[in-house]
Amino acid sequence: MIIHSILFLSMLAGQPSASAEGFGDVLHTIEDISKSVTDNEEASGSEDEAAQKTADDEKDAAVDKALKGIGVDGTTADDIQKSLGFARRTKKAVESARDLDPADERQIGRVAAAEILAKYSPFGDEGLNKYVQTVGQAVAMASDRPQTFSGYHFQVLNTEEVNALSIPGGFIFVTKGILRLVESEDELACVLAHEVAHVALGHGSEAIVEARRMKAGLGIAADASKTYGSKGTGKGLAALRGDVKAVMDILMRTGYGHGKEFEADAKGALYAQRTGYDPSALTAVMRKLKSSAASQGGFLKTHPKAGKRAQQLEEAALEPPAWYSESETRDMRFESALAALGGSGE
Amino acid sequence: MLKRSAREARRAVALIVVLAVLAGAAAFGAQVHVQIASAKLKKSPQWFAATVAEPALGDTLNVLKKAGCWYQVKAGDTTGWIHKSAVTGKKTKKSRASTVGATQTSADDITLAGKGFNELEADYRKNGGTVNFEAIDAMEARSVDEARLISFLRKGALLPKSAKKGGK
Repeated sequence: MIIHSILFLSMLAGQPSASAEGFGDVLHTIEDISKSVTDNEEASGSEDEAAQKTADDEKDAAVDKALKGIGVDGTTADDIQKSLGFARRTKKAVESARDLDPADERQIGRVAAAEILAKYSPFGDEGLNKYVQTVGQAVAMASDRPQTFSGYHFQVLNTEEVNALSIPGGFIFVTKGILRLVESEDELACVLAHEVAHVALGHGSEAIVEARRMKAGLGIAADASKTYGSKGTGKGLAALRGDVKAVMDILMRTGYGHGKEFEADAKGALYAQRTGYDPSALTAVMRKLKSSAASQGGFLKTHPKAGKRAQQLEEAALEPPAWYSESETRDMRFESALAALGGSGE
Repeated sequence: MLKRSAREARRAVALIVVLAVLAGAAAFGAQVHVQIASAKLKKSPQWFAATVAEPALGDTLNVLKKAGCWYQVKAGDTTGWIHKSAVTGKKTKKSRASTVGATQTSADDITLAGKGFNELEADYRKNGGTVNFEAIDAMEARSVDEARLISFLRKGALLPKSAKKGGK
């Protein structure tokens, strides 16, 4: 029982990322040593139960061999073997609920983004969309996650609400309202970089995983593997719908939470700096948001107060890169692209 | 009772020792697998460096060394740097199934259909009204190639002088 508990707790302590850490990795290591064992966690969805049993038997044999190889034998080896079996089953079930790879993110994000585009129509000026895409892709390339499964994609929304939002998989939206607020390419880059940071840091994905775990329940882990099994029917389809709902809840209701917004501010400023922009432009945007009556409603009602965000950014005092300089070209292309917004929007 | 507890405790300690030894053994000869649709192998571990190869989803790469967030890897005859977020330690299975949506990834052999995503999107389409997949297709089709991106940055005085023309 003690051994069971140690393994169980150790695995649960691992980070909710694709590459498990701590004892989760150790468990992999034992299995890797055998060389004859393939990682059947990915394959499990397409294998029938008999094949699964064979794979598990092979794993058991490999672990036995590994243990004997380092001098562990007899009752202790049996106990370890039993514990590993228990740990393996539990780990598989828990990970099936938390495992979210880039392809999953893209597909769940795609549906959520399609919902956003049904609520807010896309702004049709392709010149402006392409300009925002270019600036956004540039800061994304300098982020901690330069590429998502199918890349970052940016779209202007045809609403005067002042906001920007991001969806797992790299779908990022900015409203006409926030484009009217920014006054330079540097400021636009910082707004986009903040949204890229949410994606790069996996904030939306964490929320999906958390929602999955809540549903699956760690104590009934066996059911989790059924709920998030590889078959896209029945329970699986309902689970995927639940994933989309988790994203939509964040976007429309709860937000990421103040801690994650501050984190995205800090990282966003850093990404903008790495790209070559002046990171203090994000502080300037926050100051404007503070005085913008339009920002008090809509998505931003779930965000920390803009004044507090500006203060935190100022305290971080991130400087522009050493090679930074003003650029007439940069100013001109910004003015030219944003001319597509037309009048004041009042 | 005490004897039993002591025995179990000894076994727990033995297990931890075993696991620790085995964990150390795993540090060498790592392989990683591409987990995104359009991964890029760079000439140097910098985001604006030239792309030397584009390994496919599911390709296995041998890690030569690590520098920050980048792995130097060998893919066939090509050696280059790939960002750690583009790869995973887990094998990425390929299949004949194609993904949904109008993106450059649609021709890739990936496993999304097996995960139920095609059915998810079909389900949303069938129920209609609350989603706009046409707009998402247009959004996903919008992308700027790397050469244009580098040129955009250079013209805007955003690249360091040391970044030579052509992103080399």
